[in-house]
Amino acid sequence: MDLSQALATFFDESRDLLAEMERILLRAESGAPAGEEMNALFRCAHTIKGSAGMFGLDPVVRFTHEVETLLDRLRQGELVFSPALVGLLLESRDHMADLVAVATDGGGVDASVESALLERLRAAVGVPAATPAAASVPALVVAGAAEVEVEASGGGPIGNDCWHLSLRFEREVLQSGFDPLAMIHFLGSVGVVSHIETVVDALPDLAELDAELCYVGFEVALKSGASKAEIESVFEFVLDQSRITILPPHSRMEDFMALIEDSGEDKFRLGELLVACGSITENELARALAVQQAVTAPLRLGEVLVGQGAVQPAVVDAALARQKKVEERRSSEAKSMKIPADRLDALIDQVGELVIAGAATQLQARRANQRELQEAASNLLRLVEDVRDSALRLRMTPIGEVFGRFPRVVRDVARELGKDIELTISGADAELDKSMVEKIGDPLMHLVRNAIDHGIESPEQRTAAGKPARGTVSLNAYHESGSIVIEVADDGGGLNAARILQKAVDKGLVSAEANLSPADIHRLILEPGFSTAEQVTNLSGRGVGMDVVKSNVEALRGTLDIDSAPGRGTTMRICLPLTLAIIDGFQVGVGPATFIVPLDTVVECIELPDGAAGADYLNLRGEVLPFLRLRRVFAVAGDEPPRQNIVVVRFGGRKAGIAVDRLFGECQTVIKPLGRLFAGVSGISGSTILGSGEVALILDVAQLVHGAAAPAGAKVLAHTPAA
Amino acid sequence: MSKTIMIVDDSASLRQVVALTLKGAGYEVIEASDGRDALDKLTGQKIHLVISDVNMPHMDGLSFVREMKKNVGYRFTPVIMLTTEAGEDKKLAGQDAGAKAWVVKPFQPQQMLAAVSKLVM
Amino acid sequence: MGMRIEEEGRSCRAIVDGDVTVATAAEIQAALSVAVREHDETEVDLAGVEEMDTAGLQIILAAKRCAGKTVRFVNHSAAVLRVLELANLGQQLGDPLLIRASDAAADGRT
Repeated sequence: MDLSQALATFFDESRDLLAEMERILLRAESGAPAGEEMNALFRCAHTIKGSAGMFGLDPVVRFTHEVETLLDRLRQGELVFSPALVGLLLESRDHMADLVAVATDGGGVDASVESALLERLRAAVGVPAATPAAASVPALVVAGAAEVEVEASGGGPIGNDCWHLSLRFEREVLQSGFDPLAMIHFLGSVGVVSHIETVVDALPDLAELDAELCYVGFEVALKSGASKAEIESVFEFVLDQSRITILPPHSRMEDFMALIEDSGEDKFRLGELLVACGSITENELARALAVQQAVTAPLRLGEVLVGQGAVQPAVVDAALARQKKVEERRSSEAKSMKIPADRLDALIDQVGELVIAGAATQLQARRANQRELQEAASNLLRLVEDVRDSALRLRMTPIGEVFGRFPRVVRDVARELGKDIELTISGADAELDKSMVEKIGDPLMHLVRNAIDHGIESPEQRTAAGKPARGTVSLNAYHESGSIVIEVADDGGGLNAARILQKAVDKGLVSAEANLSPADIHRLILEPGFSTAEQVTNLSGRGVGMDVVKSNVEALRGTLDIDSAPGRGTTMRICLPLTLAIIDGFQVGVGPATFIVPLDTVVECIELPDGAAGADYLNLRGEVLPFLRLRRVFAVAGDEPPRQNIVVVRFGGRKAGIAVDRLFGECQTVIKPLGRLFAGVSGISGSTILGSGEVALILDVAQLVHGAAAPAGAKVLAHTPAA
Repeated sequence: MSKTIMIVDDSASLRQVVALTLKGAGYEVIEASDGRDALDKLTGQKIHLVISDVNMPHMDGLSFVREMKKNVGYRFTPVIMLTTEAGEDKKLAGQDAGAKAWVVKPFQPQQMLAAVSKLVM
Repeated sequence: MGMRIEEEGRSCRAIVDGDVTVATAAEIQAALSVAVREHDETEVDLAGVEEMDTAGLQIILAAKRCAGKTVRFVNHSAAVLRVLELANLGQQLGDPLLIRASDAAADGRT
């Protein structure tokens, strides 16, 4: 196992924690830390010690342990901060930093410094310097391992060279999350189980069985060179409450008799199990029992476990099964490596700057009018762009990471609602930016739950409608022109447009006279405060509506669309950009200002026809195209030039035109987020710096398109919803 | 089918080592940086074991385990608590919260793997 | 996960799916004990069992001991076989165990 990567994380982490520790201690000079700050201080030492131990950095562990002890006393209020104590802790912190540095770079520390510090730390805690606090040696909790030695108590050693384990568990062991079978399985790592008998005498009948309690026990013969403590540690987590007896190989008959006596179980039955394990022989058992007590009745030692009925030999060769269970080592795991997200972000940021610098170089080369220089510059820029693409790909993660959790969700939710639903997943390998993968989970969860809850009808309704009783919810993802589209579809009843409209009117979301297309009506469910459920189920009635899903998606510069056909189902379509960092842009000019239109939204450019002055729509090859004038949207000073151009953009299935003065062409655009000051400005998603050093604003096409194509008509830009 | 283990600790390096060790042994691993993060990541999928630190920012380990156990789906999910102080009072509080197995920090990766193997087949 | 019962007169077939672990054992025990009580013969199909622990094993053992009733377990999945093998019970339950190669291979990590 290659720990170097994790070790690097440890050094980073330690640096941060030590800095944090220093900050808190410095503040402590003017007032003792309390509450969460005190906890944080303790945690710094605690975490460094814990992690250092895992890497075997013993000097760090040993020293930090003492610091932690002192901090713990302070945290518990058993000691109080004094200037001297803060000074000591600061010095100790510095020494911890030295120790970590030594672990990183090699070298050594001044032993006299350490011993002086240790002495002062112990003095502060109140431990006499002569008896150093027990350095915590990395160890598992092993509850009181009993003596390995077997008391010599007469009678020669009997049995064979196997350990004998008698295992009886606390009834509640399963509820505590422990599985005796897992421990027996793990016994295989300390030895070879030569025989095992499952003890079922305490097991009630099926009807009376409390299935969450543990009734079975085990008698195990184990061939092992391990020590008793090692074998016992297999059961470390249940030792307290369970009866675990471990007899070494060649134990004396007395030990077995004690085991039988102490068990409180049927002696003959238990004895028989010991014989079955090969731990003692039948003769030995008979003799022992005879000696111990007069056997009054001949006892049949033959009752088989599950008893009645002919026992047919198993058809199976269990060993065969084992052979076939090929250990699936995930070799792919080894081929990937973890990189802290902030380093990746820094890289992508730098590559972004590089792209800008490259563009500037190319611009200068063009101005210098030197062919060779121009060629070299464009070669360079091309390579830089490749690097940019590769860098962005580093952050790409398959959407399947999110999809993976849905089969279980669908199964559970469907069960809860008494519906029969099948989930189909496709396109799980479509990739998008890691940060988006994390953020899209919740909106998707909501859509899937909605599809099950509101989309799919009950089996009876489905059958009545002539559909298969089993409903289908499908998750699908695919790439489309620089975006990823994620669909959540159901084959349910579809949205009920009449009811949605009625409700929207009732709630005052829309006027009764409004003439809305079915698609517009469907979009009403995305409005805040809308819910179509006739009865609030415990799944959807959680105060989170589709409007939250919509705003979550919009926060990722995406769109949410609805496609619904009565009786055939509903498809919710989320369209997201692949990344949030760099885009290919299309540069346009209005007066002195420059704007960037994300290139993947640009469909075509046309000239604004004469006579379109004052109009909000134009005829694009027979299609009505709403358009807006960027000059007006952003109140750019100056008059409109005689010839204007329209950039036709598309987002989320809608088309719109943007009227501009000039077209400059494609450019690489590194998105710089807008400051808080501009957070409320709609129509702009960010800014960028052009190769010439000028600032250009990046248009938020989703908002602009939404505004231009809004149902209510033309002048809607002013109230486009904030993302 | 491989088993899924969640490791909850505010130390990224500790999580990394534990995750690396467990993944090497064929387990799936979910990492969470504190109790709240862990609760957020319990989104209904099956988790066979939770390993959790006690002292963490935002939500400590015991509160997290208590919350988790309220969810029927994770009622019997075994929990290994990580602790420096093997103090009995902490343990008792942990027992109440539903955490019955304790591993003392610092530990070696292989020790954690062994502890896990005792709880998950 | 859960159990489905198919009636066939005096006998029935119980198809168990998903996990038979402490988390599901109570539910499965309840359903199975009703099935066994109301039929002379119960055949339990374990092909769909994905995980089994001690709680699951106990259900099998308890069901086999129901007096006056015939309970047969069939189509043991790899997860079930693994548990029976661990507990050394494969032979004693008296049910023919057949391993399908696909199951055996699918069990992955041991």
